[in-house]
Amino acid sequence: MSEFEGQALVHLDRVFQFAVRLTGNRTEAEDLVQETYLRAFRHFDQFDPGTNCRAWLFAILHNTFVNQVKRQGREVPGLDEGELERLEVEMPDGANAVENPEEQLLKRIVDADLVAVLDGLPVIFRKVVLLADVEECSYKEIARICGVPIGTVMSRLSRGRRLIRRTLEALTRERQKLGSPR
Amino acid sequence: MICQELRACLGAHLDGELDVERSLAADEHLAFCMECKWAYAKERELRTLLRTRLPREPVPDALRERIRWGLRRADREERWGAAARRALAWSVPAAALVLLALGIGFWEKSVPPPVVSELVAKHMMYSRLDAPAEVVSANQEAVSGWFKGRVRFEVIVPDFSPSGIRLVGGRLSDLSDRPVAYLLYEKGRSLVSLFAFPSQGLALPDRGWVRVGDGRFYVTEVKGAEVVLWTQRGLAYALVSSLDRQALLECADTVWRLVASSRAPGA
Repeated sequence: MSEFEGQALVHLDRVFQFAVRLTGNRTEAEDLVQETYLRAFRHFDQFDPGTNCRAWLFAILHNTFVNQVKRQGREVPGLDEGELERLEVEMPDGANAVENPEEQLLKRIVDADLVAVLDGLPVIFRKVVLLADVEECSYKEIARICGVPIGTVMSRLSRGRRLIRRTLEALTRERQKLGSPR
Repeated sequence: MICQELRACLGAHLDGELDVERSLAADEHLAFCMECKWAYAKERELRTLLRTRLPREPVPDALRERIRWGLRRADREERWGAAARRALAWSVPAAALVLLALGIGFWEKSVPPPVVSELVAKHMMYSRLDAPAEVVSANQEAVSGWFKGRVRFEVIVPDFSPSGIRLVGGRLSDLSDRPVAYLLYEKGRSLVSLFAFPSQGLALPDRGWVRVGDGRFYVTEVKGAEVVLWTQRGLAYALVSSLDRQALLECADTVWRLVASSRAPGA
């Protein structure tokens, strides 16, 4: 018990952050995290002490989340390729405008925008972006957590990041047009 | 490496996921290609943004408590399971095992789940307020109607008047961010609280249950307040009061029968 607490419970904060952003809902995240820890505790003998415990917890959480979504018959917001193309076309492309990156997003983006844009991203992209960019997991770890090949991780990651950037850029352009001080 | 190749692995380069050879080739290209350098800077900027500007959500204390409590319980179950297996392996007669189980059950007082202390704290808080109800009415339908659109489940308002307990009103409350429909009743000067909330994720102990009629209720006592708690049709119900346990169980039985006979499922 104390070994489990020492290894796993110390990651509660990060696990909770991931759950909140993954579900987009605090109450759901709390239940998910509780369930994750209970499962982790019951299967702690399967944890390889030489590996990253946080990534192991993320894998359990991800698995629990996917099962819950399936069980509740909720729609898994996975997009097919066609839908993705449409999404990317619909979004104005700021990538061609050569601007000094220093003057770009960082200074104009409000934290709440970032949350809204991320929460609006389809979950198959959101989870890889969260794991790579926020939780600093390696591609190999992400592949294991999500149960997909590394190639899929890479393509989802780059698409996810592109979608986020375009949405953020569209948002800042909108603001500039309106001339509202942010 | 040409621009197109670099752009395809820009993210992987940033993440340090390229092999040495390709990583060197990418650096080489970035050293002389201004456009790719910008693209790379934008990629890095986004990552910095996500890493540093995403607000952190504090872990609620109630969640921490729920997890610890759940782990303690699982740990106990596991140890008890292991002890039972060991005992069987040593071929202790089954009768002795049963006696042992009964003995442990008797000695070890079941730990009330964290939700119980939260409920009791709410009850205490409301009993100190002069006018705790948001909707004041002795009319069951009026109180039930007030909750429509305020919570996402149907709130059933029972009538306890045969036991001399009268309806005061209702209000919205919360438990670890869960929305809770809270009903207030009074007997003399004692407050009787009835909480109703979605039961999803609620873990209740194995011991400490009593049967009344068709219903099963978890009963416990915290800081002088009696608590009767149970789940039914997707909702958890809790009665909290300083009234005696028997009176509270009668109320619980009334609620149970009312919920069981209601048309719509709770959640």
